[in-house]
Amino acid sequence: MHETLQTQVIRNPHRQADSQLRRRWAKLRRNKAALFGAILILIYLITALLAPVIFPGSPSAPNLMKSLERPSMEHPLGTDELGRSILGRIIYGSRVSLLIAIGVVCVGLLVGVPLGLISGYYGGKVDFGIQRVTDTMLAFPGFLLALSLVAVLGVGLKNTIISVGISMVPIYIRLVRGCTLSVKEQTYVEAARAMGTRDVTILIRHILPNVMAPITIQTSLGMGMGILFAAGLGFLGVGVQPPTPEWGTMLSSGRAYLFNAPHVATFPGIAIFFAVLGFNLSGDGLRDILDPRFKL
Amino acid sequence: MRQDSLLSIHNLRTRFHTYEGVLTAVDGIGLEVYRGETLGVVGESGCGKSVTALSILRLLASPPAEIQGEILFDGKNLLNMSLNEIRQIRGNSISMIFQEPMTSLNPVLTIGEQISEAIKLHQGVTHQEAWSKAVEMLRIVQIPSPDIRAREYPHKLSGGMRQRAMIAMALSCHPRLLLADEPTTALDVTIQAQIVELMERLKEEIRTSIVLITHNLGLIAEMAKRVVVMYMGKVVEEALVEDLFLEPLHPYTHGLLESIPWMGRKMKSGRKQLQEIPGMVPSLLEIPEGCRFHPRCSRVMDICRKEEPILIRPKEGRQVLCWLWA
Amino acid sequence: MFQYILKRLLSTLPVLLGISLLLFFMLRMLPGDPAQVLAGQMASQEDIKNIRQQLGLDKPIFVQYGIFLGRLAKLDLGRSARTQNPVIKEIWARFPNTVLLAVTAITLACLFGIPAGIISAVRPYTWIDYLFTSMALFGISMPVFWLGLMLIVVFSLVLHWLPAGGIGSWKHVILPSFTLAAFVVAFITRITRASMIETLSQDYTTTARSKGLKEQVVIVKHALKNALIPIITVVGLQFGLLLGGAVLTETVFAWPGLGRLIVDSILARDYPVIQGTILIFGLLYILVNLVVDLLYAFIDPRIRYA
Repeated sequence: MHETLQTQVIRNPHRQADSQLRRRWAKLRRNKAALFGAILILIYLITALLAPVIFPGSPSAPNLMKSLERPSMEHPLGTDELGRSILGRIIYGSRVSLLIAIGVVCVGLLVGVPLGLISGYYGGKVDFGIQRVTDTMLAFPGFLLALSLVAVLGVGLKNTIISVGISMVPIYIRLVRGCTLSVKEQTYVEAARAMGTRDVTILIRHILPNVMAPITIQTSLGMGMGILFAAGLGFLGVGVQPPTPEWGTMLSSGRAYLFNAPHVATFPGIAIFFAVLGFNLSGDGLRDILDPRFKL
Repeated sequence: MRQDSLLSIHNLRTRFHTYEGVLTAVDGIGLEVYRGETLGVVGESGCGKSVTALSILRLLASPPAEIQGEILFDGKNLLNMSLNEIRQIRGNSISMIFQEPMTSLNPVLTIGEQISEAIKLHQGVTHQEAWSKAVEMLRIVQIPSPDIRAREYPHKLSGGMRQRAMIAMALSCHPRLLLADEPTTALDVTIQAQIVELMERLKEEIRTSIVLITHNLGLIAEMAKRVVVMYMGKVVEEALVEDLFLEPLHPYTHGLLESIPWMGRKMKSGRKQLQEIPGMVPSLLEIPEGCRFHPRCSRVMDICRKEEPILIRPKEGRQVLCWLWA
Repeated sequence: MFQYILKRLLSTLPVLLGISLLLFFMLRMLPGDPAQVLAGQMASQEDIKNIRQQLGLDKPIFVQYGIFLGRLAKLDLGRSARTQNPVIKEIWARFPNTVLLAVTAITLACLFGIPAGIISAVRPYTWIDYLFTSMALFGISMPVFWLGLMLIVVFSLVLHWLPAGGIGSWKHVILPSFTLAAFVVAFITRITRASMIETLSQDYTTTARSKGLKEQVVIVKHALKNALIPIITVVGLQFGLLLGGAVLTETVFAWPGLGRLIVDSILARDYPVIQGTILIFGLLYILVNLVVDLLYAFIDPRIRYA
């Protein structure tokens, strides 16, 4: 009689674990929006990686004979003011944007996560100091912060990545710190401390895994945000510089020809839109699976 | 059906449609509440007792909930009524109080406002009149300085006072039936006693029948006249309180009573040990075949494993869902 | 309540200090001589010497900071390296324009976003929820400057209904504020929806229904009031961002506001103006946060009496 239930459980100890994984996978498959987002990202990645294959030839070589042509069979998205194929520039631009997206979240993670962990775990003066710096940084709209940093550092791809990356750091710090604060109070952390485990070990083995969920979500959203910010800087002329094909920079030159050749400005914007949409949808989907509590 | 039957539930089935399947929280139960009595509904967490109460007032969002059956109040089936008609009954003829007074009271509205809005709605009086009635209710539930308290917000009150305020709110329109879902579970033991006493007194004064939902057998012993025991969505036993405690028929009821810690009680072997019902309540997605309780039953028979038992009436006023008494 | 206000005011001081420190050190971290940097390309040796004296660049760093703070207190932010006008005048000329745009955009965004969020929350997972949620998602994913350009193409170049830029009549306000609103409304819709879903699933909502209250009353009086706190936070946040971050929109529509001022200054390396505008943004942001916190206390009695 007791046997039925208890032996059932003993015979399959993994039942608990893999049913959770299965549930999450089922949830993901149900979430069509997130799936769509993942597909968008996939397309984006493939385009970036296989750019030379999809579009052979240099995207930046001018061909003034064909300047500002409407979309046609030869140039499906038309040409820009220097006669370059917009389609080609968009395809190569995906590489630039991808580089920016990855670079930006790397900066944010590498700086923000450790600072957030330290700030939340140790508290006291360290926390106070870090928090005041974070507050100050957050006193500015993110884009403005990136813009100000560009003013200090200068223009170009590298500086764009650094500036936008740094403007993301306070977000990560806040996020990680908040998580650390709540995990810190858990009994198993207390137990680990009582056993004499070193702080670093506690941080890495106990606290960090629990922070992974919001970090992952933020990273996906951050990549989208990074692309938007970088495009914004490019549009203002202080981001990636021509002739490097960055979608925002392309929009800035397209602006001058808005009246007679609107296609120059239209298509790069659409590219930005889909890339960012992909990251936002995936981020939302990740939030659904990993932690609906953070749903915003 | 007796003349003084107030609420009559027949074959109530409440199901939830979830991504993981259809959960049948209440599976074809029936019970009666008579005028002027307190009916106890006992069971472990998850047995469906709260869902039953929420089904009566149709407070479950459907979808995903789906309610079938018959709930007769004053001769009318509550489940067939339109939402407008049900709203006239809620807070008016049938009221409900909940387990957690802190989260069940709206933190941004004053106590007085929360009580008087029901009065205004159902009795059509002016704001001032409703307010003074609300203050009067607070006085009746023995909250000191009721006129001051009425202007305060819930977070300023202690747990016991909040529960009193909830009771005031529920009884403000003198309902004929009060559904009390674990009214004392979230309170300190000393406060529990006060609330119990309050409810008994008000029951007499306002002549309300109470459905007392709880897992606390002691509370049932004190307050209820008749008891219904639920397990995994089914009513497994029904009896008068004395009969249930002195002579439990269903093995589950027997197990529940045995598991009450009792000073000085010894096992047959002479050792003192806490009794328990072996095993755990299975998930509603994996309902056992035959009798739902059979995997944990100490007196299980072959038929229990294969066929669901039928409701049996071994004596007057008693019902049990068990093959032992067939 | 009074204590709360006081505490909030005091907590802004460290941030103000932080901003001033940031500005102070930012200048000195730039390559080159700070005085030269401030004076700009066109300056004469005379000017540079003057500035050096004004800032006390030969004195120890603490004294310099003291001088800096003193000048800030007098609202002396120096002179623009480009126009030689006092920075404070340049800012003041453009400030009302930015406020106008920000207020219009936020109002539009709230008028659409909050009801949309409420409807989405009350009827989740229906077609209307998907519609509003998708619109919100698109709004956040779209580059705001691109949207502005597209709107110009449609409404100005093709339809000739609205001007393509500049300032002057109410017609000039429409496109830029719609562009800004499109971005902001996304956040407002999402937070309203999330917050309402949260409050609608709370116990007190069930209690309210159990009293027989009409569903509209439950949604507005019981749920919405509780949902407002996160909503106001986001609205305040967005408003603060708009005051300073409308950089891109102002550029697209040639709107003479603070956003364009800072961009032009960055491009022209006009550091006094950059410093001044950063300071103003910081101040405005802090002010908006303060107002939001005060509104919290107004809405939520628990905060009022904490």
